[in-house]
Amino acid sequence: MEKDVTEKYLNWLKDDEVTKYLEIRHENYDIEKLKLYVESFKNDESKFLFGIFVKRNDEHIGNTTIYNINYQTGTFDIGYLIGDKNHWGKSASTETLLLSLKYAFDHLNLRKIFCGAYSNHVKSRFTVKKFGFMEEARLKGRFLFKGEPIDQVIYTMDKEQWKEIKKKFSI
Amino acid sequence: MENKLAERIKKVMSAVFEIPVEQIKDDSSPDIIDSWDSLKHMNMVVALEEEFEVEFTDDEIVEMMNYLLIKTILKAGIK
Repeated sequence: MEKDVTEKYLNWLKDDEVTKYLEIRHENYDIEKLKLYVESFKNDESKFLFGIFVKRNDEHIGNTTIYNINYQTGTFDIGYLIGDKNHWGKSASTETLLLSLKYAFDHLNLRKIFCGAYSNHVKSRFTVKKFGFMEEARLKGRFLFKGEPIDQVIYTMDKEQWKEIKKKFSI
Repeated sequence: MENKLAERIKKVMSAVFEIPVEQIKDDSSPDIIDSWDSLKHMNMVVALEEEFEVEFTDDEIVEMMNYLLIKTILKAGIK
């Protein structure tokens, strides 16, 4: 993964359009800080970082993280970023969710995922809802967006629902 | 009135998703219409807002996950 800490990756984090609805936009990343971020995943079983690559040419187009893993409760969070805008609105988000959840539910044997989105990030909310997540909670004014309080909508899925998703996507 | 509303919604959906009007049923959703992805969803929202001169809230946009829900939200929003 360290070899994938490139200017291209850094530029995603500096692109206002890419980070518009992400808290990461408040961080001022440079290559060194980015390397430290990636290295922070080493030897830490509570979080995993995966690169997202195009199958046909290994092009790096984004990253996904499984984090806040609590093996005691079997819960976890997920976040992903499709940095290459050429892949927005295509299958990258769905495939990323499928592979990330497969790893978390089937490999790590976790029980329930939590996934948050700004309430005004309607494309992301559409994507997770279409995927099969359930809207479970709403944290009023959890974040700020252009200086104004914005809600965080929490979507969840448990292992039983994941089994249905696997059937839906035939995996 | 009801038929006219249905006709106008289906016409918009047909144009956005590039499918015949006849294929749009009450339960037509992103699970059934292959071309209904997040970008097309936003295109549909904009097209419906223009067609009906309304503005949807973020939550309404996320709720519009099948034809029947779209019709219900529109009926509530059209004055």
